[in-house]
Amino acid sequence: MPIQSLLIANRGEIARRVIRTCRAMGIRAVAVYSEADRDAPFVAEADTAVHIGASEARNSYLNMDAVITAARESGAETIHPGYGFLSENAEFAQRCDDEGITFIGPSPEVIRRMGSKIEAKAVAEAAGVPVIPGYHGIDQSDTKLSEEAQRIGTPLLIKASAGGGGRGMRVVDDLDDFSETLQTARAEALSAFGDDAVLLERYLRAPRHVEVQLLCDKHGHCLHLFERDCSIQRNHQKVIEEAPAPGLPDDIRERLTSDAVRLARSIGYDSVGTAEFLWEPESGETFFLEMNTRLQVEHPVTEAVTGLDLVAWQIRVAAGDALPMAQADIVCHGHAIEARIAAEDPANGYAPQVGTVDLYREPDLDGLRVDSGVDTGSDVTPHYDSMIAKVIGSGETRDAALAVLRDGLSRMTVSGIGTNLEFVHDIVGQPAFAAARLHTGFLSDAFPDGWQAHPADERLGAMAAVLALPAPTGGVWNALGPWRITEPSGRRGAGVLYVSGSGMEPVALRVEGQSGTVSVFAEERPVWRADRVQVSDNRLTFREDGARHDIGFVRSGDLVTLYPERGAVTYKALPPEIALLGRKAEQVVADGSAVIAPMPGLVTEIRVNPGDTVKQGDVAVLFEAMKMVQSLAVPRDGIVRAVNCTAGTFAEGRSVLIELEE
Amino acid sequence: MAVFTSSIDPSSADFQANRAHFDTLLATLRERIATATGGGRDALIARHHKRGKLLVRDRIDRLIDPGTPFLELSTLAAWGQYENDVPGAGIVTGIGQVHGVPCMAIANDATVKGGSFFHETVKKHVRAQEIAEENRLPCLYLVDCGGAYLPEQDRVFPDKDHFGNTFHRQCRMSAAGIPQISAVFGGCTAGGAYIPALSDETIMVRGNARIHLGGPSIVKVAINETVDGETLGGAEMHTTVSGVSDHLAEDEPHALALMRDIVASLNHTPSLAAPPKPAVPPRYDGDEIAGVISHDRKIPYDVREVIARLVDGSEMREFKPDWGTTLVCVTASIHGHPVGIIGNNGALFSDSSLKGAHFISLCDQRGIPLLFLHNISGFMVGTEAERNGIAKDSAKMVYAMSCAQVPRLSLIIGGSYGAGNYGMCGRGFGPRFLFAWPTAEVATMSADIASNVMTELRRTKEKGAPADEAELQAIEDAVRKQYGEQSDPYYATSRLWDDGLIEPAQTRDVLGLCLAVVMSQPGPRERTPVLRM
Repeated sequence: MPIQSLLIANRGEIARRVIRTCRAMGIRAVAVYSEADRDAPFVAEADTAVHIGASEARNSYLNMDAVITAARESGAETIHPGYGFLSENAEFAQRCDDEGITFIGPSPEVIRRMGSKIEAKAVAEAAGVPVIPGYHGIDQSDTKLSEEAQRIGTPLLIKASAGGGGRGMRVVDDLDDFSETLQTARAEALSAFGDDAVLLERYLRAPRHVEVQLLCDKHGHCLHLFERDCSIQRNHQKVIEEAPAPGLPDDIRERLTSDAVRLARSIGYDSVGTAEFLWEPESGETFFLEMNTRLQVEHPVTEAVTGLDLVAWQIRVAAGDALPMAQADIVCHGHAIEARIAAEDPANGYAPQVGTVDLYREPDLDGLRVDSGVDTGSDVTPHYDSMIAKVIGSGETRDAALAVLRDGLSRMTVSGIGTNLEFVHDIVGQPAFAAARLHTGFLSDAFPDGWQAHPADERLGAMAAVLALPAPTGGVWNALGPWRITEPSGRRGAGVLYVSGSGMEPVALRVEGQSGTVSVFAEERPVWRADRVQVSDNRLTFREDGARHDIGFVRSGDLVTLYPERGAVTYKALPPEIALLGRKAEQVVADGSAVIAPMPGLVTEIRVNPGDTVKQGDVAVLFEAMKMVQSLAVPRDGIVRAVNCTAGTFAEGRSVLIELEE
Repeated sequence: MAVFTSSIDPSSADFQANRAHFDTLLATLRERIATATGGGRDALIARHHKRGKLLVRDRIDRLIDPGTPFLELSTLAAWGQYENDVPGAGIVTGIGQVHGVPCMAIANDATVKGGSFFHETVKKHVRAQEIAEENRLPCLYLVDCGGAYLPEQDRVFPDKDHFGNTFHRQCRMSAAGIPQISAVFGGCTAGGAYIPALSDETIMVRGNARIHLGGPSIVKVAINETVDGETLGGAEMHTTVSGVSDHLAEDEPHALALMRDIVASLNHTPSLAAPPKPAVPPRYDGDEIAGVISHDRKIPYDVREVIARLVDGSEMREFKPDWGTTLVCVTASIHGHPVGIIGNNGALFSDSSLKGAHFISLCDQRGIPLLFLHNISGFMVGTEAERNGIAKDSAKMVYAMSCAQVPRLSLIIGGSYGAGNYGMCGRGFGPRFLFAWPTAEVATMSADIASNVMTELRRTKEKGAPADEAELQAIEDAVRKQYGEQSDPYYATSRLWDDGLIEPAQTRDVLGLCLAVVMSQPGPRERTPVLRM
């Protein structure tokens, strides 16, 4: 019996993605939402939406009772779990079975087995699929783990057994640090997955992450939909993914796809899933990493090259349909690259950014797909993952796909909150990326000291100032731009904006003109002069020193991001009163006598008590926001005067958690 | 509305001759404005900068919203007077937006005689206040002035529209809820001190700003106290001790930022009128006007050719096109704002006067502001005209024009003589704005007619000896010289008979800016029947 009504036990972009396929298949889509997501786009787009609880995920999207009740009450006979949350929770899949609800995914048994990394590796080894040397044992005692660490040697990876998506992973380069790192990894594992078991394994230095997309049905058919390369990762989280894996030799592709299919068959896999591998190009070795028994974030690149709607097939096979096609019918055509857009600060440890999106705009380009969870006015809260959108460029060749992606990224506008847009634009603009020299250490090679925003320079800052002027539209008092009666007599209209950027202190730039001939001065010193300046549709074109230039830009509020050849760079252009009158507020923030919550989040542990003598850098508070555990250290040596927070409670952003004596 | 079909051929010899003539006029205008608004005072400017001071127009650039217009008024005030040593009369006035609020900036230019007040300075200051009051524009005083220019004190201080009137207006406007804000950049002595003192809110710049009723030299003479200017009336003292100033600015950019911030929080609602229709550029380029206007005043041209180059889409609807044809009356739009335009195609006869009165009353009834394009030798004279009652018919147009409640604008594009100037809403009739082209001539009559009239009067004089040819020639020369000088547009603009000389190609934009301002205060709408004439 075809599925009629489907509940999506998820949020954000993936909820919208599933709704889209439901529409196409004539299925009624039921959304569930937490307090924080009341006004989210996916709630409005669903046919029915059910409020399931408070903002914290454990009270809403992770609350099985609430989800199942919502399904029953809304008449949904099917649940799509998306990714994350309950998508790989065997207990939840079992609950669905018990309630007579179709869970879109494999059987609880398969989820359980593949969900435990330890067991998954045992399954792989049994199926003759090589795995990375490591310790996957039950004995989690410090002594045993330490022994095993010695055996495997460095570099060594500590991972949460129940983890996925990079959370709860730590690398140890020096065994002296093992104990400390182990404690942190356990704490993260416990907080993220409710289970502090870890596994250890050898860490490969320059491997590529290649994963095989699987599509299996309940009638014993198991197909692969080729592979994806997801080597570009930050903190073990994927940032850029593409299909097919560029430069993958046919024999390796053959080996990986057949390993994946064999593994899936060996456990009776019967849904959409992904087998992840590491491939060391130099040795030609491949190792099974893990299997994800759900839809992946990066599934759109596979959809682009195979022309298949993975969500639709996931629903069909869950409903018991047999796959009508054979492996030979699946063809990989063209190329697709995806970039994940997250509300995070890549220059500052990928710290999550929260706030309201005051302007969201996505480009409409041939070959570009944008899957987004936000819109203008959406709140990005500290409660969930920081990813807000995915931008996918596709084309006949990798170069064509890359060109579409770069163009698309340079036309995305997400204002009001910090994002990694500049960062991902910079990654895909790297020559090494264009040459497909990919490996999991790509980012640390490309940005050895960590990624920093491109250093600002005055010439580009001058362009930013021009672009920050109000668009000459509307009534005559705006439409005329910087009009002056004295212009034919040689005195042009000018405006002064204070422009700053990465490594560039605010400078008062005087902008003469807005189109045509434009001159920009700092005091009396000319900074930039160009002719035939035109601003249209996120492009700035001009002539300078006889050469024609065309630079993409995005303006959002006070921020102007320019996309010259050398990479994106963002400037802030402020009117005088904002630039000159805001001094006092900044001084308060710079005070060094307190530990301050960097954003709204959960205080998970407090390590100091009033009266304690502390040294600069001592960790005072463990703090969790947007699924990231942060260690908050004291800013200087001193004595703790007061502790203003309680473990397990929510703290407002900028609130003072710990105070030191004067 | 129909698009006007021009019969002008820009490649014709006439057009080229007209254009060549006009271009020399424009070259003169540009050169004079360039002189008046900056050039030639390098040493003074350098000294000004050295004191951490910005030039007056640079202050305005920082004051108004970046990337928006500033409508500067009377750039050539005091031109040709005082040995041409008081450019712009030492003051810059004009309208610009601050945080989207249209404001009147009144800014002293301390590089001109220390920003002290000449007769034309007062006149320009008062005129700016008058415009501010009529249009409810907050007044932003950028004060850097030493008070009255003492050698000219009899033309600056005592009369009813002299210096004292500026303060009377400040008080009245404040009472009427029109914000009065001052930022003090330099010394403000005596009269100058009252500009900030009578402001709603005042900013002073540390180190440079001074406010004192009597400066150190007067204090010494009056009470024999020896004191330096900073102690007597410095910014810090006035902000922390006397309370004469409300905000202490560290430097000029800071002072201007504070002023912007004050305007942002004025809670002052009147804003610029939004155009009811989108603006459409004219089909015919405004730049062609220079080739439309005859280089010889005696050769007539069709004023519709001028209108077509000013209005949206070159579209116009003409009223009574076949009656009273020496007066052209059309409705059109400029930058999206509807406007009723009255232009001259010859002298005013009884019928054209009545047509004008009728059209004015139509526009008044419909809430459409009026624009008068002056190019008029006068009302028709002669037996026939008098027998037709030209005196009472022309009076009807003057009545209608004077009493119209909609905003009126005037633009002098050619001659504006005698009673013609009255009927067409000359300066005496208080148009909300009045601009002129370098082809303007404002006088009781042209030099030709005036010299004839005066020699004829001498010839027919009964007392004394009969006039000889030499005496008549001398009279003619003297009258021609006087009329020639005094009907020169620079003579007029120097004396603030207009709000500035502008170029034909700028005119559409100037009118659009003015319409958006005046239509924010469109006047009362007490209707009377349209009186058909």
